[in-house]
Order: sequence, then structure tokens, then C-alpha cells
Amino acid sequence: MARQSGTSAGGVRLLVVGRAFETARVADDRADLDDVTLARARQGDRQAFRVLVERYQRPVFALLGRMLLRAGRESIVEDLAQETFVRVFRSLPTFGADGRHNISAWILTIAARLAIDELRREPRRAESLDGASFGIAAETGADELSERRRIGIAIERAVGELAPEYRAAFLLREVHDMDYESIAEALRVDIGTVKSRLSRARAALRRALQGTYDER
Amino acid sequence: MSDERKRPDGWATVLDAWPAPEPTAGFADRVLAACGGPPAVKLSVVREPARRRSTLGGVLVCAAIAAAVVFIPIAVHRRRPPSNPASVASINTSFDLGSEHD
Repeated sequence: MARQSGTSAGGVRLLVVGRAFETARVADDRADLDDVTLARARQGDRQAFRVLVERYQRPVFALLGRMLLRAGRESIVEDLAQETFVRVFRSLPTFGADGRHNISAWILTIAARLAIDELRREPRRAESLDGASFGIAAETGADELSERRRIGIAIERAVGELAPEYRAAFLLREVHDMDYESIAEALRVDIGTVKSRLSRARAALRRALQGTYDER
Repeated sequence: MSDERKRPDGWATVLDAWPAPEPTAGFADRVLAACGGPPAVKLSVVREPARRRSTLGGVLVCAAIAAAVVFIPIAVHRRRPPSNPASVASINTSFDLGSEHD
């Protein structure tokens, strides 16, 4: 079954593989926190900070979960997500003093660094994939279910083979839509290194996924 | 974004097939609890200790002044040598003990 580039809808591209899959971009809501709430949160308003947490908790969980590959690490994902927001809380009064303006990129930077440190701390181990965790809408048929699950398992395995820094660069760019400058700052490297890592990560993933599409 | 056109097609939906974990229930509550108490920018908290301190301090100062007013003259008086020994004697002999013959 040939891959075809799809049409864009609302800024999200759809790829038609046999049939159209419903997009599930749960990681990113495009609208950032409004300035008033952010200002109140910076002044210590806890209710405003709660709004901040509820706004950015999904992308933080998504990044940490995919960085740590979830299986057997659910509690670590939650711990690191909590640590991320605790650090945000402590540093929020001074946010922007160094010229930063992108609160989303800043929060994801903290989360990415925590995930990389955690991966460096733990020895790499074989990841067991739980097929039931691939949430599929009830109305999809068996063929779509297996196809989507197969792709999901394949991409998870392929990303799991990447080194932490390459994994972070790829996820920050392709899932969370961060620009090169923000990724460079998050990973503490220059933009050239970011581009190099992204190129290598994509090439590695294409090779790993090639078999998934060739089987059809 | 300037590099939008260079992004390879297909990553969006490939990644869409890889579900992301969702935040657990009550996560925001746990974050707030982990962040500790309310941040310290509360004028009322600063004011009340200052008031108490000034009241207590005032009492202590007044007590110290009163003690100084009372006890310093006494201490000075005790240390002063008697200026006229005769006056002591006269004190001793000035009592009217009455006559022997009433």
C-alpha cells in the first residue's frame, strides 16, 4: 500500500496510508498560556500556576513518556514531570530575565534535560512493549487497528534505539515543533549539532521503519 | 518557520500512531503540594510581627527606665559616705524618750 502525502488541515498534516487515520496530536496545543495568567503565576498566584500546570502537563508527559519509553517507567515519568513543574515554579519569577519569551520551550527544555539525565543514569535495558497501551478508537476496524499498532510499535522501537540526545532532538522537533534555536539551547549544543543529530535520527528511523512499510 | 519545507513528510502521522502517556488524575494538585506553601509576598504577615515586637519592646524599655529611676538613686545613696557623722549621732540621740519622772 503506497504512502501518499496528505493534505494539511488546521496546521496538522495528514498522511494517508491506505485509509485516513484520525490524527492524535495530543502533545501540543498551539496556543500558549495567556499573558495575564502567566504574569500572575510569576507573581506567585498559585491558582494561576495551577492553570499553567494544567496547560502544559500533557506535552510534558508526552515528551517524558516517549523519552523514557514508558514501559516499566510510569512512576519515573510522573516523578520527572512533577520535578519539571517544581523547577518551573521556583524559577518562574525570574523567567524572561535572560530574554526568554517562549514559556512552552522553556518548560520542555527542563523536562528534556531531566529525561536525558535519567537515561544517562540508568543502564539501557530491553524495552518491553505493551500493545494494549496503543489506544485505538473503538470504531476502527481490525485492519486499521493492526496497521496503526504496527506503526506505533515500530516507531517506538526505532526511537528507543536512538541515543538520548538524538532522541530528545527528534522528539522536540517532530512532536513538539520546537525551532532549532530552542532545541540547541535545550540540549546545550550549537545549531549545527542539532541539525546533524536530527538528520542522523531521521535516517536511522527511516531505516528502522522501512521494513514496516515494505511489508504491505 | 523557515525550515518548514525541509521537514520530511510523514513524521506527523507516524508519530500519531505512537500514543503518548496522559497526565495522571490529580497531577496538578500533587505539583502544588510539592511546591510548598504560598509564596512569601504577603504584607500582612510582615506587619503583625513588627507590631508585636514594638509593643513588647516598649514594655521592656519602660520597665528598664522605671528600674533605672528607682534603683540607681538607691545605689548611689548607699555608696555615698555619710557627710556629717554628728548628724548620725544626733539622729541617735534626738529621740524623745520622755522624762524619767512623769
